[in-house]
Amino acid sequence: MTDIIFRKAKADRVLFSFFLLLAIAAFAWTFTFPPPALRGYPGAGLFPQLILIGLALFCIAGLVRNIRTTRAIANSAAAPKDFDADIRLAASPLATILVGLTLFIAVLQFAGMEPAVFLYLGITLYMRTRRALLALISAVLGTTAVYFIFVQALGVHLPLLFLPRYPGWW
Amino acid sequence: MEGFFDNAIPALGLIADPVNLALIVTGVVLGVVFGVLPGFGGAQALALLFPFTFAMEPAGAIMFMVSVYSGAEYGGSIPAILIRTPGTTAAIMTVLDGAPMAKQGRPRRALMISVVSGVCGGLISSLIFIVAATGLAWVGLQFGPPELFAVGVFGLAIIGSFVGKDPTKTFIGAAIGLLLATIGSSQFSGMRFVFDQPWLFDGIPLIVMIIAMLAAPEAFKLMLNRPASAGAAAEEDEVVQLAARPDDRFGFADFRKLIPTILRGSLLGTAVGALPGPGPTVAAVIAYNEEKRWSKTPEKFGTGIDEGISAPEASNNAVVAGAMVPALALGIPGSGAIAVLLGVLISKGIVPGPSLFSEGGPLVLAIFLGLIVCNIVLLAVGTLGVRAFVPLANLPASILGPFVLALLVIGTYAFDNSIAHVLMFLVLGTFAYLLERFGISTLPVILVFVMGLII
Repeated sequence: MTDIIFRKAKADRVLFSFFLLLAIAAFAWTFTFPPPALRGYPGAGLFPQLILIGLALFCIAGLVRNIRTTRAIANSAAAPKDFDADIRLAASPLATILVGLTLFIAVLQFAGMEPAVFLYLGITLYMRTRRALLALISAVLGTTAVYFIFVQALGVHLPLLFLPRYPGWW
Repeated sequence: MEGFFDNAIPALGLIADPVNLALIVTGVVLGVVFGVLPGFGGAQALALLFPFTFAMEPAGAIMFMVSVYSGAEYGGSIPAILIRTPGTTAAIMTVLDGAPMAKQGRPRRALMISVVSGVCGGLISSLIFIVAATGLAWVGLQFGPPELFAVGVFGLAIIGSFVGKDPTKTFIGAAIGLLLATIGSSQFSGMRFVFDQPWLFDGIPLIVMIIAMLAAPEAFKLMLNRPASAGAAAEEDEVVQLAARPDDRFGFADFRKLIPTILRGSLLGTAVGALPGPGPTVAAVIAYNEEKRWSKTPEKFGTGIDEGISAPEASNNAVVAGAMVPALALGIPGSGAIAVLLGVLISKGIVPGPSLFSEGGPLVLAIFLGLIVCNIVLLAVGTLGVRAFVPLANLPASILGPFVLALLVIGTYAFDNSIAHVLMFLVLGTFAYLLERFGISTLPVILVFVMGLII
C-alpha cells in the first residue's frame, strides 16, 4: 500500500498554482472561439472568459494568503489550525481501482456486459473478501440482475456477448 | 367554482375506477424502482413506459405516468440517503443531510422524513393547483429569459451556504462548476472546449455530472476502505457502519416540528415547478438554501438534521403538480419529463392549452385528484419499503463498493446508451475524488453547474 503524503500548505500552493495556470491557458484558448453572429452581441468566449478571470483571481488570493501565512509562521507566529496537516492519497489502491474500472469499461464495450460485470464483481469481491464462493455467487447474481433489470426490463442497449436481447420466453 | 363542482363528481368517479387505482399503485411502485437506479430519472422512466400507455384510457394513462414521475422523485432519495448516490438529479440536496443521518445509525428516520415530506409536498402542491391553476399558469408565462437568468443568479447564491473552512476553495469549486457548464454548444454561436469531439457538442449531461461529482468520490472511498482482514491502516474517512440508534424513529411529534419546513419547501417547489425550465433539481437546491437561511441553527445543516432532508424532498415532489400548470394550461413543457406527459395527452387526442380547462371536462380535475391519491399510495409504499431498504445501509463496505461502482458505470451507460458518457464519468469522477482529497468540496461544483445550465 503506497500512500503519498503531502504537506497541506505545500499541496494548497500546488493546487492554486495548477488552477491558475489552467485558467490562463483556457483564457488564451477562448480567443479561438467563434466571434458573435451579430455585431454588438457577446461571442461564445465571453462567459468562459468571465469565469476564468474569477477562477484566476481566487487562485491568486489563495496563493497570496498561503505565502503570507507561511512567512508569518517562519517569523514564529502561531500556525492556523490544519494549516500544515498531512494530506494522504492512497495512490496505489486508487490507481488499481482506476485500472480496474478502465478494464471494466473496455470489456463492456468490446466484449459485452456479461463478462464485464461478472469479471469485475468477481475479481474485486474476491480481492476484498478473499472468499471465492461469495465472490462467485455475487458475480453471478449481479450479472443476472443487470441483465434482467437493465437489458430486459428497461430496454437499455448494453453490449451483450451471449445472452439474448430478445429471449423467446419474453 | 360552479364548474369545479360540476366536474368534481365525474372526476372522483374516474379516480375510484379500480383500473385507474391499480394503475396509480403500479405507477408509484415502478417509479420508486426507476428512481432508485442511478441514471434513471423521472424523464427516462416516463419515456420508457410511454408505449405502455397506448393501451390505456386517457385518464388512466396520465394518472399512471404522473404516479411514475412522483414515485421516481421519491425513489431517487433512497440511494441518496443510504449509499450517498442520488438516484435522480433532484436528490442531490437530500444527500447532504440524509447520508450523514444514515451513517449515524438513523437510516429509517431519514427515509421516513424523505417520504413524509415528499408526500406532503405533493399533496400541498396538488391542492394549490386545484385552487389556483389558471393564475399560476399566467405567472409562469411572464417568466422570460431575463427572469430565468435572475432565478439562476439567485440560485448561485447558494454557494454562500457552503463556504466551509476555506472560502477560497469553495469559490474555486464554484468557478470549476460554472466552467464545466460552458462546455459544448454556445447559445451565442459556436462550440466551447469540445476538443473537436462530437460527444462533447451537447456538453456534459447533468446526470453524468451528478453521478461523477457526488456518487463517484463516495464509491471510491468505499473501494479504498480497506478490509480489516488486510491488516492495513484504514483510510481516515472510512465509512463507519453503526448500529441503529434509539432515535431512529420518526413520530408525529417530529412531523409537527417539520410542518413549517414542509410548507416552505412545498410552496417553493410549486412556484419553481410552475416556471418553464428550472425543474425539481433547482427547486431542491433553492429550498435547501432557503431552509438554511431561515434556520436558527444553520451550522447544523450538512450534519444530518431533519430539516435538511425535509425541505428539498418536499420541494422536489411539489414540482410535479407545479410543473403540470404550464403544461396543461399553456401547453409548455417545463422539463423532459413533462414533455413526455404532454406527449401522452396528445397521443390520446387531448390538446393542452387554455381551452383544456374550460372544455376538458373532469379530466384536468381527475389528474390532480389522481396526484393526491398517488401521494397517499406513495406514503404507503414508502413506509412499507423502509424495512426493505434499510439493510442496504448496513452492508459492509467491502461488498457494497464493487456493486456501487458497477451500478454507476451501467447506470451512466443506460442514460444514453453511450460509452462516451461512461468515460466522462471515469474522468470527472477521478477529478472529483482528487478535488475532495485536496480540500475542494464537489458540492459547490455540482450546485453551480446546475444553475449554470439555466444561466
